Amino acid sequence: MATEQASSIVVRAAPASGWSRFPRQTLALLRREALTELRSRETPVAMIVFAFLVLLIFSFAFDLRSDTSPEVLSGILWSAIFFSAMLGFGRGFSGERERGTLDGMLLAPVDRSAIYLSRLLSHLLLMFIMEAAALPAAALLFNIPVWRPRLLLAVLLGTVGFAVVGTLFAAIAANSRARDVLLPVLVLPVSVPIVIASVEETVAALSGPSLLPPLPWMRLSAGYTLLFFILSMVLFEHVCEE
Amino acid sequence: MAVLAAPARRRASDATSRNGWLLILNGAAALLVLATLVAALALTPPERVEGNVFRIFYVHVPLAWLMYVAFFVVFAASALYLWKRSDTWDRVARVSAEVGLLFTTLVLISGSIWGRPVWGVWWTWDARLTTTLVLWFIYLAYLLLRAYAQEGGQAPRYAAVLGIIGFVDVPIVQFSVTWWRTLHPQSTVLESGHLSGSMLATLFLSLIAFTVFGLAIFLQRFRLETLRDHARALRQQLDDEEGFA
Amino acid sequence: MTAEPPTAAPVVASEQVSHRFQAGAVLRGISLQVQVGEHVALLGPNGAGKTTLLRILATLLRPTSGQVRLFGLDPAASSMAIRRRIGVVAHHTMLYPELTSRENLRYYAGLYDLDDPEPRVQAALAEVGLAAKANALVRSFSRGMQQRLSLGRALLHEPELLLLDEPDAGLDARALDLLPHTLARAGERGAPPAIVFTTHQIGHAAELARRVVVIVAGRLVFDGDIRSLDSGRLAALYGAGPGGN
Repeated sequence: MATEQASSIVVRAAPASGWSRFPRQTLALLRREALTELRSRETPVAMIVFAFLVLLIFSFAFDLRSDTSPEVLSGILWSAIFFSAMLGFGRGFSGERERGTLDGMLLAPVDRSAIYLSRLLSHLLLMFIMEAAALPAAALLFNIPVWRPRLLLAVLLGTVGFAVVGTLFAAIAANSRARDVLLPVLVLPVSVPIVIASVEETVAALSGPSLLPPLPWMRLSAGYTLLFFILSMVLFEHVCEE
Repeated sequence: MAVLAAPARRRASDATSRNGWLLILNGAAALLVLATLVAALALTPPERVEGNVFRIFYVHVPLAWLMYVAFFVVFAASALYLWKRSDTWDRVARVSAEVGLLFTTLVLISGSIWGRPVWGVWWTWDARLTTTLVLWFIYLAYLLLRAYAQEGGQAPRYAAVLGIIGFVDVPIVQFSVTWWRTLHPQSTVLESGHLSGSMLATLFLSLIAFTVFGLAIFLQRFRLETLRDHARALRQQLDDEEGFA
Repeated sequence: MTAEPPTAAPVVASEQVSHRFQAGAVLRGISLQVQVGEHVALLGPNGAGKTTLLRILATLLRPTSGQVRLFGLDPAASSMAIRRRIGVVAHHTMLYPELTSRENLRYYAGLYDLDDPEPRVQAALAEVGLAAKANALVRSFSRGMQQRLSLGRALLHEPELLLLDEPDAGLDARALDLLPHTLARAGERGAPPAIVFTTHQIGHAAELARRVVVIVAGRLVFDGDIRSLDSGRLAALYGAGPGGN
């Protein structure tokens, strides 16, 4: 058995195929990310609880009634989503750094953008889990029709757009002092366009008919997301190296 | 014995000639700004709609222009730093960010002063002021990032990434805020109004004056940072040498 | 024994490598070479710079000056090609506590993009004596077991250069026995890897390597046969280091 294994194991000099290596490695990273986040359950739970609390505090802060305007409701919903997201983003990279597992990733022949991509997908997963709890809660508490396709689409676009820049800055903040404070300081100004677009699109979804051709807001979200996704993929290696 | 590095051997005459140029630049800036103030306050007529308050326009507009220039310089220097990894580019970026934050603050203040007599409020969420405020926060984030960086050499790299992302974001912020405001119209400050001949000339003068002024401030600050970096390098060299005394 | 293709380039070739952190210089002019299959022990007092040197060899750190070549390649240009051939065991196990040992190894097999991961993972677990614990969470392991698994992780992709930072620290008795055995076995399968390891225990060092390099206060003060170095001479080297205490 040992000799069979010995003959089948060869020191590899070059990768089988450079291009297909990237998706395979991203998949390996993503599988591990999903396992660690979901098995410990800390982060998703914290994010959900935090989102609920934000909704609660805002309902006191604004004394909401049944006739509350879509603008206010949209703002509350997105505040809960964005703040809860930043809470979740902050945890990932600093934990890795502390456990030395970040070194494990950096030592491997992995494209740094694969690390970014897998982390982005993991953040998206966390946000979707949180939204799956927060949206029904908001629907219940504020009597808003969250099941409209247009609203769900707005949430989807806003989530991805925010996660794209949030992931990049989370990696930067994780390696700095006062990281919990630094992350919002970095993310929020840069994410103003996606915040505006998401809130406005949600307002339209809440107040208008449920199906309509996408407003320019959606195009803005999509454009913003694509642009910063590409930029982040390119710039991430500069964030990684020591 | 400690051997001091090359910078200390710079001849005194070099330093003086460099100082000389800066002195001339500072002098020119002072004169031009003074001329602008005179022109703005005395030589131009009051604006048709807003009266004398409008005069702040001659200061506000060039400051806004400088704000954007500084931001562009941060972007270009950041990109060059990531490409070349030269400390000089990093220095250009961080000095430009500091100076840019100053200009942005002045733009906000002058915009606010302008709005008060015209609209009765210190602040409105109009498109331009709001965009400027977001820009202010991006500059601030850049400086805070540098301040909170850990001891290793990552601060320049992280800041460079933010410098690039921030700048690319600016037009998008502008567009989204402007469009947001058209959806919810509000009183707009900073109408340009109609500009007569002497007003245009004064505006032109003020643009030149403030550009020279901005350049002078930038170069002063840059020189200070360069000296500071050199002093630090010398101190480090001494520390290293001392380890073997 | 299969004939190995003649390798012109040494596995490690460092030329006047120096590194400084903001706090001070940590390595000064380290020049050394490691040949294919060679075992080198890196000795030195705490803070001498051994870990920093190891991190530079692992391509995790770029030295502030000097040149490093690994397998004849420049880390700045060919980092991916180099990383495929290096394995590292450090103080951090680089393992995920909430995953099982098999899941951890499977993850690293994916990261290194290895063909046929399952049999490899199984073989690695067997080799470090953890086959029975394949489905146990790493969180439940003792320090010694974790270090053994970490060694399995490092050897999974058959590296040609193995870097070990104090591999004997925190190991239980069984793991300590296992270490030279596992390393020898790694050599049996294919081309034996070159090994560079740091340690405080000169006794353990002698078990694994014949050549020893001593670093004191960032400088290389001894490079030769371990048998010519007894504890007295070592203490003298430590004590005689610059500014040493």
